Amino acid sequence: MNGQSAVPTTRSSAVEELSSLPLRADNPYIDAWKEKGGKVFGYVCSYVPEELLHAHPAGLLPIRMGAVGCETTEDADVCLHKYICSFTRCLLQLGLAGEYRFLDGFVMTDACDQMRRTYEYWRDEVGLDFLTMVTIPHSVEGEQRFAWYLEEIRRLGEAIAERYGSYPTDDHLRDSIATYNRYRKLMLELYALRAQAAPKLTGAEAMRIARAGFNMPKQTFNDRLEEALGELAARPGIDDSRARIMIGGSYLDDTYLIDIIESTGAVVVTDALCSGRKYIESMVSEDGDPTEAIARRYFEHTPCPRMIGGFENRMEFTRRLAQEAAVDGVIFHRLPFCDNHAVENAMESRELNKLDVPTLSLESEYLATDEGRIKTRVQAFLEKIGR
Amino acid sequence: MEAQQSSLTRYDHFRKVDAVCDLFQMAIATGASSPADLDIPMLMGILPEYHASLVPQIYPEVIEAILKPKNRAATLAHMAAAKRYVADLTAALDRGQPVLYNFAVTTPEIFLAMDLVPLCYELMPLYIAAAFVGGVDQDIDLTEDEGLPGHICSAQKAPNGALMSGKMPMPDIMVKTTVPCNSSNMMYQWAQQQFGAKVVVVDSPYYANRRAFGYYVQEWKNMVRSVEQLTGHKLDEERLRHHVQLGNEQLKYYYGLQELRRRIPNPDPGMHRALDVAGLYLCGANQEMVEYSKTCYREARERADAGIAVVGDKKEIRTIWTWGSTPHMLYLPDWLEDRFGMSFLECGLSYMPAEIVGYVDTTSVDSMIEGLALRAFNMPMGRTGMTHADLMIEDFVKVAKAYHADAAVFSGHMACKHSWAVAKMLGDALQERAGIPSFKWETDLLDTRFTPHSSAKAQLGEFFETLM
Repeated sequence: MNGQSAVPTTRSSAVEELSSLPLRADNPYIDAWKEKGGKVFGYVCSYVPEELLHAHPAGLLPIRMGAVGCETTEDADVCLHKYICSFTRCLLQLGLAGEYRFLDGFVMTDACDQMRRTYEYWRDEVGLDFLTMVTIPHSVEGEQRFAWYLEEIRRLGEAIAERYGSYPTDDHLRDSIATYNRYRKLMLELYALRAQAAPKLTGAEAMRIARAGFNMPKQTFNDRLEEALGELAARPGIDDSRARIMIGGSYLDDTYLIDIIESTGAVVVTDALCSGRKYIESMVSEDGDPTEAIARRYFEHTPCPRMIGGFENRMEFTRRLAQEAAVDGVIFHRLPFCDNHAVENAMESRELNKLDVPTLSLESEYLATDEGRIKTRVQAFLEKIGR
Repeated sequence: MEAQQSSLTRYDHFRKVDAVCDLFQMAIATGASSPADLDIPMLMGILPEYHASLVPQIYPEVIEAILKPKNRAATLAHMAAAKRYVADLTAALDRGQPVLYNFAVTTPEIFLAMDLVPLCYELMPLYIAAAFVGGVDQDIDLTEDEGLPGHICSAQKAPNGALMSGKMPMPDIMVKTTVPCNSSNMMYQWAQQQFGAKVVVVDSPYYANRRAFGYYVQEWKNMVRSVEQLTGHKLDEERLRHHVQLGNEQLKYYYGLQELRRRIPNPDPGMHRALDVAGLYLCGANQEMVEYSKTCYREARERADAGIAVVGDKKEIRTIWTWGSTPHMLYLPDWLEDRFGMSFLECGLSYMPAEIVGYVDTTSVDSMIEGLALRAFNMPMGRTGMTHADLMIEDFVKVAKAYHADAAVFSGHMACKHSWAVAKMLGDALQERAGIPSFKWETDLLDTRFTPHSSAKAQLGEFFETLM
């Protein structure tokens, strides 16, 4: 299935469209995809190799699931204790409420304790046509670990083939690799526009555009993003910002936090988020065995905190981004009960402070609450760093 | 020239654990069967100054529990084993051997066979929290002062604080299986950054099948090679065989006790489950731990043969603890036993299926490493911590039926998110498939402030009263 065929007929400015793409059942691209007989597969973790799904001849549309708009977790809370992070509970809530009923499949990973243990609820309470898990070693050191992950990827492809017929050919995979590499390059251009002395867009706009990228056929998104980059480059930059901020942390697809930060006059000029720059960096090699190349890129991309031995790599990534975007400070965010980022944020913060990069650690629920408290803390941080 | 201080007196945690072993042994040796029978002024008069200073810090409830006839012999035997462990560790430290901290499911046999100082990272704080009021709260605070939140597991925050304050020796190397959780894995990374010790990873695959086990065995072999390279200490086959044989002997009685606890009435006191867990973490460490296991078995066997219940004349409420016990409330199972007739059959930190794990084949180095890997693969936490919830649920439904359980208690450690995510499914399955109710309550393994003892007693007492 060609992504182009799913483009809605009404066209607006690319920035406008990408910044306001409706989600889930209201998303016209998903509607169009389903109407043409395509399948939609969800995933959450950045270790799920999208190219493998995208390349499938049956026409799989991979979307990165989020829970923006979730207003309550009352059904999920019956299943999951309050010690489970609110993103996990929000996502399950949407599943239980039928907001993801358009999904044909869901590919989970074992990256995080909380999300992995909702597998059984998605299987037994939500019910999907296809549900599986890709498991990931906890360290990238050693070929045995890569071999495990590669086999997991191949097994995913085989399981999909068993359910929907045929494993993607190498040509299919190479096409997908090219599409996704183009996507990453374009997204890096978007980051470059943010990193300019006078950023061409706000952090909130950037996040909304990135979110559209999670929820559209990548070919279509790439074309629209290319247009959007042109529109953005022609804009005047933001030259009166109070401070240039980088945010770090785990999955964040709701602009809520960035809106608060930017309401103080600061601009979020880059990020080290799992759903942000970490998701974008590193290309898939277009040489050699395509499945192996895909696996290599996903396994070795800037690691998730759960990867033991990866701290230096992650720290180097954060340092590089902070420098590249000339940030005045870094705001780390974590969801309550997120172990990976509770420790990682503290470790990175400690290292950045040694380099005289000021940091602020914030904790807030996925559900939008606490605006006053967060804003006060951000304002205090900006004052502390003299901005 | 100033004499070098011995490791036993230099490191507060060793000194404390060693001293509390002495104190418990001494209290039991008086023949007193309750604290009221103890001549405290007389004892304080003959105790060394350091030991005497610790007496007011010990939980009176623990003293009460260990003095009971049903707990005396096992406590004595366990204290002897713990004391031996500390003595061996400190002797190796004094010889200047490298210090290796290992996560609980990698038992010490391999590291002993390399002539290292194998310290279970989590164990010393467990002993201290069990014996002393507010035992490791200050160590937890020290770690949290570095910017870590309350929901990170205290089992690693406490030793981290102990390292920061010099109560335990600095690690040269750390070995971490990646079961059971993100929290522990992150805290080993934290320790690596804070103390500069290399963490050797034993990656634990998510599945519980043949493919996963093959991978896991290779991880163990790689770990042995890495530790040899990093320390320059080679694994000695005969020493390994010696410690593996000790472990096999210890497990023979451990499995025997599991069988005995299936009997009605249950003849095995509940307080021993926490001691058993410590025993498992030290499997194969010394002959004294074998004697501990043997003592528990012999006494339980005698009670079983005589039809004596650990709950005395009370109606027995046969209970499985689907998470585990709470170390800083070591006395809790004993208190529930005698007050409500609760008998503690098995818990999530003690259940290891004998029919799967069996004994380690001592034929060769490879067979021993494979056997130890199989055991770690199925150790408490190792087996169910990082895999689909189905395995934990099936295990406990099976245990509930095999042990004729009347009730379940999920004594949920707040940091253990993956377990909390299963708690409802597990409770539902136990009700539907084994016909038993479950009670869930929130606790912290080591932090006494999270759920104060009085609150824990009130909550559990209320549940068991409804079952009486």
